[in-house]
Amino acid sequence: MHRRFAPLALATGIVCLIAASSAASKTYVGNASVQKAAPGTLTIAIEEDVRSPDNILIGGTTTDKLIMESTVYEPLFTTGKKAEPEPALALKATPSKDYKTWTLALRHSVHFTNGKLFTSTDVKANFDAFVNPKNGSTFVGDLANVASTQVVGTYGFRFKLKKPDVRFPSVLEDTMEISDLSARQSKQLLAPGEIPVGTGPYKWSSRTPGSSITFVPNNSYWRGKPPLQTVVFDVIPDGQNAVIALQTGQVDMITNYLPPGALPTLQKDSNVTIRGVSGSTEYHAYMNMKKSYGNAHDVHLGLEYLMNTSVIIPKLIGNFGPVATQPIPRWQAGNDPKLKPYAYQPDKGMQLLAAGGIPKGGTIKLLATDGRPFLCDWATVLQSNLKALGYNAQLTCLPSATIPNETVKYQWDLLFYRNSGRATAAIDYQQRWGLAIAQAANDSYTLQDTTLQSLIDKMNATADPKKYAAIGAQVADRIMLTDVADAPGYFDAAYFPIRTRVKGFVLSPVTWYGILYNAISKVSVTG
Amino acid sequence: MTRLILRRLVTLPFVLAGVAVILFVVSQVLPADTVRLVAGDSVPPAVRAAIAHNLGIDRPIWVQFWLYIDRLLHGNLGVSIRFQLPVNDLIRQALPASLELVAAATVVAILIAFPIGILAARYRGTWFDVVSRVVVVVGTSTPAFFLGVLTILIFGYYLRWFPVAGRGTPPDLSHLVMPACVLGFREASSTARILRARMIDELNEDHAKAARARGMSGRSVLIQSGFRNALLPAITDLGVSLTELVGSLVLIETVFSWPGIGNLLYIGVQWNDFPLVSGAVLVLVLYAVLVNLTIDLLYGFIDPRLRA
Repeated sequence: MHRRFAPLALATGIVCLIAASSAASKTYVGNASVQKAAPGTLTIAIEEDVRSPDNILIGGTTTDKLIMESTVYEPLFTTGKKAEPEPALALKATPSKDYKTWTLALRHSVHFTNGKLFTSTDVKANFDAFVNPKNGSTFVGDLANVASTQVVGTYGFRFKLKKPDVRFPSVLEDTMEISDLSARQSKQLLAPGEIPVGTGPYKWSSRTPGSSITFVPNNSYWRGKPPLQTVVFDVIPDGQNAVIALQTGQVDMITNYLPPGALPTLQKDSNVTIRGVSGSTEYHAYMNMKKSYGNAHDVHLGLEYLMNTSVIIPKLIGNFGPVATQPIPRWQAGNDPKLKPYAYQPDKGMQLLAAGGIPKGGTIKLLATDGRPFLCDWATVLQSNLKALGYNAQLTCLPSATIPNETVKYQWDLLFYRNSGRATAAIDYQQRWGLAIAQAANDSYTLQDTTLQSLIDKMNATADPKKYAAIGAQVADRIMLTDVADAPGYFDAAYFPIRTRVKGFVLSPVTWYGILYNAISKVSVTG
Repeated sequence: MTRLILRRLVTLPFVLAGVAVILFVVSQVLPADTVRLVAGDSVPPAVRAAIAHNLGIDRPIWVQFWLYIDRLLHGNLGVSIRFQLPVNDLIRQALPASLELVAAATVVAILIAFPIGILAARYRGTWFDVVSRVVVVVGTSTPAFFLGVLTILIFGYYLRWFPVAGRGTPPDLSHLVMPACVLGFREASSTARILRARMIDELNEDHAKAARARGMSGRSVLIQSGFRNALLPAITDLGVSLTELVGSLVLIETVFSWPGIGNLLYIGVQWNDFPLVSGAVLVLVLYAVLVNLTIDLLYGFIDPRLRA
């Protein structure tokens, strides 16, 4: 008999061991205690693991940039307080008179974490890899204006452009980081499991996929030894869990995925400070420029008059961010400050819809992604309003993973979507509304507007800030008033709640991910 | 018993092959744009094509299927689209975490289910019986993710006894307590209910009455006539619960950010990462088969008559 209870006795023993171990742990004891940080260790909660630690591939996600650019990799230029390029691995960029050639002077005496000296051949190798379509780098579109690149001595590098671009270094801001490709097996992409090597303040140490990544200092970093002994990125997908982890001291900081409802609670927590920057990510509804209507312009305009955004949005999003009137935010040069939102005029809107081919009782299809804050809520309110006006408003809310398939069917009338901002208005306009993208990708925001593209080209070729802003305003007007291609909703503000024991964290005031490439190199953590 | 083991081992490859085929078919039917998930929205067609080529999803379906089966036959689960790491490595890294969680949950389940089942049968109709039945109903009917969130709120946030996310650095078991207890509690509920019911039945049988008449103590009758005879169905139910636990495992690992197979599976589904999903599912199927085999072996251990 006693043998039959042996497993039970063993189980009891194991549980007692677990209980004893937990009780012995000094980390979590007593009521309302807070986990003590190991001094010198910074633990950051992130929404998702890196998609790829490969600098050739990481372009597309906030998280990849945030993790890898804060640690292993460095760009040629970072972003200054007014969105201007600031030296990083490149010291300066000198244009030719026609702004079609840019020559970069690179920083001397910088070493990769494997000890190799950083030179212009590394920059050449990386940019060749970026534009090689076989690599599948998302930077190909960003570098569409680059005709060729050239090494100029050991510390010089030249870009030759197809069209003049006065602000070309902005294209390189906080993106297209440099790695030691010569150390890679393939000399291009990282092989599965291969360790990334860059020039940054921290070195890749270990990773539990889907759970955490740990970095240790690069003691030969060119700016001096980094202050932290360990940087840990903990994947906590649920924002609310991340908030609890922050409040209980399990993590020191949450990157920009704070649930909007948690903000007031954290603002009252004396152990937490909230750092924030104005966001440049636009939450908006695309008009369908590919769908056939009786009169597409009337339909788009009619929908604009029925959006009632200025009333719906503030009630819906609270202090999440400001209401938008155009694709780029007010603080960015190239926005049109005079541009007003379409007033809510239901009669006029319905009249235009009828003239365009959607009479009262007609079907209006709304498509939204539920992976982003408030987009489905906004679409739901609009659906309700349209139904009240007598339309057959149909709403489909889909996860980010499945919405692209529905998007490219072009059966929707309004697509509620999110677009990350860019360092300058010209880059934003080019990448969201420009012809280069329109021709390249079979996408929803393809205007195919040559006039718009010529305005964007003019922006790129204009050195005078006032002229640049004025042309930018024309672009905004073109998208909003002439093409009627966009129904803006709101911009987000980036919030970074940080425990007070973390000192010296620097936020970028403008870049869309809100964190400077070298921010963590300046951070210290007290016990 | 040997025949049983052999039969199970012989059928195992067929079960895995069937699951692999179903997984492949489902992955082809699901509406998701993998390239967009990997590269984002604004990429030119040439880049889209390159990414599709690199991922191997631009080939005809039958070629993809053949390569998939060929890989599986060589023990290669492929390279994860999401992590760009070999699935074998990912699973090798995640498996200990899941096994640790399942083992701890099973221990918790046994420690909850057996005492509750035995005592509820012994003190049938008393307040303990009523309370234990309420606990069992709550455990059976409450979704795992809700129990997880509730536990995080109470023990993680208000009481601050345990960390709310991650696995910590083993052997830091403080991270294990909450997810193991939630999983174990759910696992325990139905076993406790069955143990109680069967013990009550057994204690009303003639053999139990005869034992009492022969002057055996109440405790001896409870254990020898009640518990011993009720153990087999209880173990069967525990086995079923252990198999069903796979569903809860995905939810609990996700809620607690536990770096196990369930978490990988969740990420794989989100990303339409077929190699990762198929690898994780095949491992979980293997787990279910092995659990069933273990339970069968345990029968023989508990009841020697079944060894024949």
